[in-house]
Amino acid sequence: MVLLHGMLASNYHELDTTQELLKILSTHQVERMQNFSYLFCSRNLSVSQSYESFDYYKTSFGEDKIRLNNFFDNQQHYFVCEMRRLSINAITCIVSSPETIAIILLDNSILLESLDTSAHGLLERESMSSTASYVGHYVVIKGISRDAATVADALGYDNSESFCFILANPGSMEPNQLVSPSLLQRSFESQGTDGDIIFVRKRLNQNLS
Amino acid sequence: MALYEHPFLYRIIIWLRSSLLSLVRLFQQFIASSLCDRDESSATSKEVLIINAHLNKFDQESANIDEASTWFLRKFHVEQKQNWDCGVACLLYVFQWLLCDNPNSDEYVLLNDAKEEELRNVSLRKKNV
Repeated sequence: MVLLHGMLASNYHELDTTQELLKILSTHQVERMQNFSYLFCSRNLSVSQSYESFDYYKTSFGEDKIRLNNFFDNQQHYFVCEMRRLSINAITCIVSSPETIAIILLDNSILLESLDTSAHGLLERESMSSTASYVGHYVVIKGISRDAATVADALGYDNSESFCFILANPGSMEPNQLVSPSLLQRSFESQGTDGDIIFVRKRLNQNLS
Repeated sequence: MALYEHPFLYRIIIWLRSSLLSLVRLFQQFIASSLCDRDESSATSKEVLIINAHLNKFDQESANIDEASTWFLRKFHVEQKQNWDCGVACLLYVFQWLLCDNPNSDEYVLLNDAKEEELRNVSLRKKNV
């Protein structure tokens, strides 16, 4: 799977290639794939002009703005939901269910603040500008853990917290990255993410009965 | 008989008055805090209900994997390069998760060697073009 990640990651400008790869992946295994639904939630289904000054967008804001607005104008809206407020508590409730995970957009500069690179082996830190104000980064929330030892090992651990999130982070060598709720909240609510999150829910074996 | 003529009684009344005011303030704080917690909890419940309602729309019909992957790719493609890289990696993770029967298992199904070989060939073909 690491190989696949590497292959796909280098193909930003070759969307056709990636689509073909994913098509093969899905058509060959689609009969094994369980029924699912998904929902994209965001605070803002358009581009905020306030991002123009962000380091992250500075060089390509105009181009990004056009692409994003076209995307939101043309898509089917039944799996999109604009939510002005989406609390970390609500996200916790939803991803606590074993049949739901979420792809969440975080500010990686905040996540990395709490990271000891030697201990956690993160790949991206070296390539990150130390002065970057915002660094968008998608991760998957796989679920939560309430195990005391696991919680104590989480990034940004605060002893008042009774659980932690389990992430699949493409920027991390670890299969499970543990992150405290307060740290996840700060990196999710950072200006720049727009509170973007995609929930994916599978219906467990109902179609097989 | 004026109250100030009885300093002891006067002090007791002042003390009772201040104690009563403190109690009232404590009670007000308690009520405000309870209402705040309730509002927070109520807002969270509402958010969860909205999201569940959307996700459960598909009770009768599963999302189409081709449409979904196209949508996800478009979503990541319209963003910055950095988001595309990690977005696609997340999408592949989601596909693996969808292939896994046991939701509690961390051992998500990995692609077999043949599949990886096939994907590698496609990538090479594209590169040569």
